[in-house]
Amino acid sequence: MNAFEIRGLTVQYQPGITPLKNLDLDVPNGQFLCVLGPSGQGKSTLLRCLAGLLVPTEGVIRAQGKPVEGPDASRGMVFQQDAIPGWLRVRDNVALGSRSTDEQVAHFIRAVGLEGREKDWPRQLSGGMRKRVAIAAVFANDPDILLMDEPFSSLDHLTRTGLHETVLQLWEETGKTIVFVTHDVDEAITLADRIVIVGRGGVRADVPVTFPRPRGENLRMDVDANLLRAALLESLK
Amino acid sequence: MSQSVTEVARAGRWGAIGVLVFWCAWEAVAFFTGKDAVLPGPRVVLWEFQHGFFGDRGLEYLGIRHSDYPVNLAWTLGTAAVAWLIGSALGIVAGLKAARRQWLRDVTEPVLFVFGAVPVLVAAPLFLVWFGAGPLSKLLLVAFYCFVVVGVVAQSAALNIPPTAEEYAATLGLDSKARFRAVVLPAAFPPIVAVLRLALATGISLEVSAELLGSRVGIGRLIAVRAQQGNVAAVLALAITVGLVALVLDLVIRAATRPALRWQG
Ligand SMILES: Nc1ncnc2c1ncn2[C@@H]1O[C@H](COP(=O)(O)OP(=O)(O)OP(=O)(O)O)[C@@H](O)[C@H]1O
Ligand SMILES: [Mg+2]
Repeated sequence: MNAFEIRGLTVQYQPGITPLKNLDLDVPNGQFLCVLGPSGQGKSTLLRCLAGLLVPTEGVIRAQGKPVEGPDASRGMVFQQDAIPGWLRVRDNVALGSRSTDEQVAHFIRAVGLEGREKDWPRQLSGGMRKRVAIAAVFANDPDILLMDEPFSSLDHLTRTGLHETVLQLWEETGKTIVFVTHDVDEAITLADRIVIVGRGGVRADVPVTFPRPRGENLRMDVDANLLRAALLESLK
Repeated sequence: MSQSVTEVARAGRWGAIGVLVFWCAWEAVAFFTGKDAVLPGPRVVLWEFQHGFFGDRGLEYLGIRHSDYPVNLAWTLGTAAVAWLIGSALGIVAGLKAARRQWLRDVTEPVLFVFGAVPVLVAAPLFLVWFGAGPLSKLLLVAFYCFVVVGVVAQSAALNIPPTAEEYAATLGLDSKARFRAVVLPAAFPPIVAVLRLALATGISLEVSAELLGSRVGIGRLIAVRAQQGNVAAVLALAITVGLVALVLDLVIRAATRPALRWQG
């Protein structure tokens, strides 16, 4: 079964502002899909529809075969902005989800490297650590699908690389479907099984990424990777 | 813990300095004025306080049955506190509910705006006419004031919560009720605490003012009688006593809510 089946997805905010127009896309279970696109091309809009936070103007979205009718625990989301509540300590934040269990909470706090910081308030953490809290919270809630909207775009290169490893590790460990939005070609090549470029309302390009993992720095020297990077940059124009 | 203790100690030291400076300035101005009947110095007021605290025979001849401070303080602060509790509780519920329902806001906004703008000096006599000179009129007046102020602040606090906070909770599977408890309430709590403190202080002074206009008991009633007698020192003693008790109540609210506000640092 597909994690997502998207048919004829159209979102019109106002007359003349139609970021998504008749978009079709299937996302198989377990895939790490990166959605790439320039700013303002409807990436966040697409993700909000997938999460059930935005009702499309037209079209249907089925998640695991069932129509999406609103947000629920089966589709977790990591937001671009800081969204974790500041009034919950790290542990309570990770345990916020309706399906999280104590074991899962402890496990994912360890997995994102926040052991020992359980009692801290979010204001006592760095931006990267707060992102870790959000990731741990979403994983601890055991969703089928993870939606991530440019989660690391505000972080420095080193922190981001570390979080890529964390997310890939969790993805390999849990086998969940991930839809990851980014405008960074290198980030997409490092993470994805498949890259989809959205633009002018629909899917502009759909490329499988088959480089062996772990990818990391050695991909910078790889000829095929550089060809792919060039091709993606070209279709982003 | 020890940090907050030193903080309190530091604040207390500055507070003590402020009181001392004020006391000296008052003493100096009173000395140069030279008329105890117009501006009595702090020591005269203190003397009035000591002698009036357990009641004054003279007032009893004027038909005031209880002239001592404790009974009147308890009456005034008790009425104000009950009114504050009722009005604020209703205000919080109504404000938070209105924040979730656009139509409720549309319906109530103009009415609240108009009645919220009615000066208390106008509202107080009206309440006395409608509900009599007993405690009920003051209770309703103070409760109404608290309801409006707390309600308006609670509503805007809830409206100012960034939408992603609730959306995030929704994608973690929290239903509307759980989101209200986990997100809306805690996010709106700090401004609500601030307005609760304001409402209590203002509510007490409202209660005293309403008692001035017509009451058989209460600090306001005593102040009215003392003012008629031209006893400025006694008026000041009563007013300052109310202020001090209000300050203590404010400290109690702050201490009680501090644990729930610690996340803000
Ligand atoms: N709530 C809204 N009301 C009206 N227009 C909106 C709204 N949200 C987004 N838009 C418009 O829809 C278009 C797509 O926005 P969207 O946020 O989906 O882009 P994006 O691809 O995520 O961009 P970025 O990479 O900058 O985050 C933009 O032109 C934006 O102005
Ligand atoms: Mg976006």
